[in-house]
Amino acid sequence: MSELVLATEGGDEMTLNMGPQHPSTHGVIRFIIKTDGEIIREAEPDVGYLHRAIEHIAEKCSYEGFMPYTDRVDYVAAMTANHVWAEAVERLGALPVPPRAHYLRVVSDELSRIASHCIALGAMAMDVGAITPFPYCLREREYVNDLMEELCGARLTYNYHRVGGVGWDLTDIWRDKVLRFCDHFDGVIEEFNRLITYNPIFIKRLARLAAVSTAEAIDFGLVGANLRATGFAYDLRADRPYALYDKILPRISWQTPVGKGEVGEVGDAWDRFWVRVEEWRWSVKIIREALAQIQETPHEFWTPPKKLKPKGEATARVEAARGDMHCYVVGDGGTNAYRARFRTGSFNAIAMVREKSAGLMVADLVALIASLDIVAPEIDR
Amino acid sequence: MDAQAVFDLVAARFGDAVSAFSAGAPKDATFVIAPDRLVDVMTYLRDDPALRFDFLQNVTAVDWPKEQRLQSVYHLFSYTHRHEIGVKVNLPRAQPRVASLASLWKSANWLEREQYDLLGIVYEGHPDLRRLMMPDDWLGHPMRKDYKEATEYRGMPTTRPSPMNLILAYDKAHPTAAKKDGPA
Amino acid sequence: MARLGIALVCLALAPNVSAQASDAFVRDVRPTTLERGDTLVVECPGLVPVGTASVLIKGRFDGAPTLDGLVLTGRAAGGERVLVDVDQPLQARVGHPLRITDAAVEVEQYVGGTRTTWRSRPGEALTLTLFPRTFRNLTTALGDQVASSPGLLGHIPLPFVAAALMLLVALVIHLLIAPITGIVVVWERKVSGRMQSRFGPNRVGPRGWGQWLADALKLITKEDLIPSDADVALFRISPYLVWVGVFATVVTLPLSQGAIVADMNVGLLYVISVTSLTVVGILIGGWSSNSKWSLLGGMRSAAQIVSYELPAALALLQIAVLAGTLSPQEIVHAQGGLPHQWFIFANPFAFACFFIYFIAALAEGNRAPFDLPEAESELVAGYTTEYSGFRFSIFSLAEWTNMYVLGTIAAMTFLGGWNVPFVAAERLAGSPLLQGLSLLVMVAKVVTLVFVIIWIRWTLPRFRVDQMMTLCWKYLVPFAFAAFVGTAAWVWLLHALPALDLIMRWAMFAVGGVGVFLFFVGRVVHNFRATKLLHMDGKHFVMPFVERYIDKRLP
Repeated sequence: MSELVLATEGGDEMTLNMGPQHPSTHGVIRFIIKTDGEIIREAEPDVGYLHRAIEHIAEKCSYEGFMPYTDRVDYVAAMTANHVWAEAVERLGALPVPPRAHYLRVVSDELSRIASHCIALGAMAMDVGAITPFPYCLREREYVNDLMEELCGARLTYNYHRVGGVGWDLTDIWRDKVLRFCDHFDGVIEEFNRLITYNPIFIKRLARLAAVSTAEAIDFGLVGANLRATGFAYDLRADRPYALYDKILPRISWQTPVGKGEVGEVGDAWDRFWVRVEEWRWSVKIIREALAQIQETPHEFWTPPKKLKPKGEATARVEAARGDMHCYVVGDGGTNAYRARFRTGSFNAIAMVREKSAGLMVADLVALIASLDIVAPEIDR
Repeated sequence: MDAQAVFDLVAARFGDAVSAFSAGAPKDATFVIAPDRLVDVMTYLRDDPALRFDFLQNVTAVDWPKEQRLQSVYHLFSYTHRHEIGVKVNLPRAQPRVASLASLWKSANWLEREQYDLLGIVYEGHPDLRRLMMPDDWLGHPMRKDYKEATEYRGMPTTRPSPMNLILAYDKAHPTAAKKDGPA
Repeated sequence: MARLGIALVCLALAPNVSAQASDAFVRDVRPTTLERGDTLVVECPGLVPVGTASVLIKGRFDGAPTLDGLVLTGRAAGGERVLVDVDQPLQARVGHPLRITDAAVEVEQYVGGTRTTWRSRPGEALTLTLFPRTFRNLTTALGDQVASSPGLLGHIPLPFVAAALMLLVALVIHLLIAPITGIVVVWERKVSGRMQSRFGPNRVGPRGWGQWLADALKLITKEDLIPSDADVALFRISPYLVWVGVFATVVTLPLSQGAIVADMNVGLLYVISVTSLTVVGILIGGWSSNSKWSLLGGMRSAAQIVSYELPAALALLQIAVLAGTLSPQEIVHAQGGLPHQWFIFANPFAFACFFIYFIAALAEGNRAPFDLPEAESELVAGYTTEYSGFRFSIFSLAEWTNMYVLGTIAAMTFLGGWNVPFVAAERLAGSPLLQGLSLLVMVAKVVTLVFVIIWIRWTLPRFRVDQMMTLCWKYLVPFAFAAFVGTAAWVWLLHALPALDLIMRWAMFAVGGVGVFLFFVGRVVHNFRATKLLHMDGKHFVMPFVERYIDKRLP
């Protein structure tokens, strides 16, 4: 950002420097806001403060050795980043994956999605001023972290998926615990809805805020819950199945949750919130179904690749917590990737902030950022 | 529509401008476009009712120093028809310039900015071609294969001594280190 | 000094007199001592606020000395009131109302050679009630004491003595209020902790209740940072303005029947006006910090407090209409111990006004859902962004004291204040036990209200600036005006049909009190049943946040 923001301004415009250290930029992002009093004329996102050159690191590690770094692509929902890398490399090397591994990937992805939405929804409520939903969400996320810890030994950066499978099998006790958590979490969603989702002030703050139309969303490349909130039913899990989602979703009579404009316009910030709450519900159902089906699979959970030196290029798309995560990997016949590229949901979403922020108030900008579920490390990588 | 059909449609219309189709299931189907026809082909891909690639998923650049070329890779997806394709443009490494797609897809804006920043492809006609990840006064494009990092940036060293070396140096200086039969 | 101390004790226990007549003519006589040389206030419509007036009270006590021909002369003050000097001591026992039967009151006034006379209707009764001398008289009485018998202090000019006394009182207030504030802070943190499935502070002192001391100590010992390019003088002064604005209100707030610093006759007006000082402080603090977040916070606060003063004052105006006075103690006197005697249930308009006042007071105190000036997710910390150490602690001190002030005002004006159920206000005076009980009643009401404030803060999201303004100007202000007209009409109606009063009060209590409470309980029970949350700890999970760090195997 070459334009240094100076203290002197002319006219009735004030330049506010929101971030890089600010309570509600969800990581280290900076917004250069030009305001007229409380009303924003333009908010220009400035990213890159968390750029760790993960794509460059991929060129220096072996395919398997890069797996822990993918955790850092999106550390709020690390499983899906694991998954997209594993899937991309498997497609590149045409590697087999045992069905049990697919189920375990589904279960761990969905648990990770629940945990990620806990952060997203809790933080959004907190940005709008309601503090209590956040610790509620964190409490539930702690349960998920407990489960993850028992599954793979880590609470945040899991490094669970492997090229050709997953790292560890589940135990029967763990399965019971997850099912118990699912039963518990159904109630939590109801409680959460009563506490915040249908709170009149909350609705007042978010209804009709920064509504995005479907055409606009596709043009800007919004993915995941942000796209579905515009009323457009597209979910990779259902529409372009990977892992074994195509065996699971029909069994639970899946319907892609889309924004309906229940309290305002279709595609407003409240719809984005609500769609994520609904995704919680579906995640719980998917986990139950996957854990039922996993009983019938053989116990093989990992086919370690031998001499992994693929050539060519492959892409993988996974429905991550922040939507369609796209991974492009090029191999040149060596043990390392020649080029790896992640395109994440937050990256496209943050590009939208500038267009949508004009005319909002400062408080609305915070809600807009939160409603797009922007996670700084995912943008910068 | 499968990738071969997509390519056939495009090839029928643009002839020599498109080439090198590779249908690589489970890998990706891609074809190469001549740089000067990029916008035409992309507009066709986006607007033709049978193709309707409305979602620009990804813009990537790949550096191939041996062949002296930079490759700009576009991944397209159609929400309407649920098909996808990869498109490549080969550019000379010395002067990698290609037309920007920001006027076709708004998502191209930031995706191209990032590739410009990290690999130095100049997207001509881009509305706001600034660095995205690196500071504006950064020199070079770090994702290029031959990139050498400067030793310092604005007086700040870009490397630091390895903590391991510090420990080793400390061990060497330690009085017990001189003894041959000291603690291991 | 010993003599001063004795005088203090004596004066604190000496009786006060309040007179209430059933006649509208001498409707409200201020509580005052009827001792030789003291002042009695007689209200009389049509008095000209200049010149002298004489009041003649005829009648006799019930089985006590006659009052025949008690002539009092004084100065007409404030329109309908005359302050008269009592030149004849009245003897009565504390807590026992004196009823002057056959009271006849004549007020004569000479203005510019014209004599005007007002008479009450004959055959009316006038009640004089004796109260123990309240704390409000302490400063005045001490001053009088020093003036009448100089002693050691006699060598010092009276203004200095008065100033010293004020300082003494201020010190007492601070020593009393600062711990209350600290405890409210810890309590809020504990309540919020419970609401969020975690423990609040639980390390310092017994069960964490000493946390406020540790916090204060930490804040005081921190460096007092002043941003470069800040307006240093204004930056420094701003916390104190906020502080004064909040603490000055404490002076007129009664804690119990006998505990009030200064029972001003303009008490309510004083409270409303003096709180405005905080907005000056916040605005100055926001502006002088040389930070844009502070500035935005300051501007929001100015807009917010200035706007919400209006509905708050209008809501309190109903109380002035209902009680016929602005003095805090008399407002409490005008209510009773039982809920239906409270002003909140006096009529539907007063009921609405309680909520209008409560909402407006939340906004004035920058409490959620109106905590926009310090909205931490938007403005970092609003006007306190650049403050640190002691100055920052002053801001928080003021904020949490304000919660107590808010609770006290609401309890005093709408919820019957310190009145004890089934005990007449007059009888409280005689017994220390009953005094303590009245203190407890008041504290219980304040604590309940403060709890509600905390509860609201940790439940609701924050309004946006424009929505906050909309709520104020489009809803609260018009409703408050309408309620004012309604209350005035109701009071006027009651003059014609006094029996309506009790019917309305019981009806309001049944609907507004019992009905709302039952609805609330019903909702809570429904919600409990609707959600089945499994118990997640024990062998399945460890409790997040808490038990993870407690190894139970340790002895």
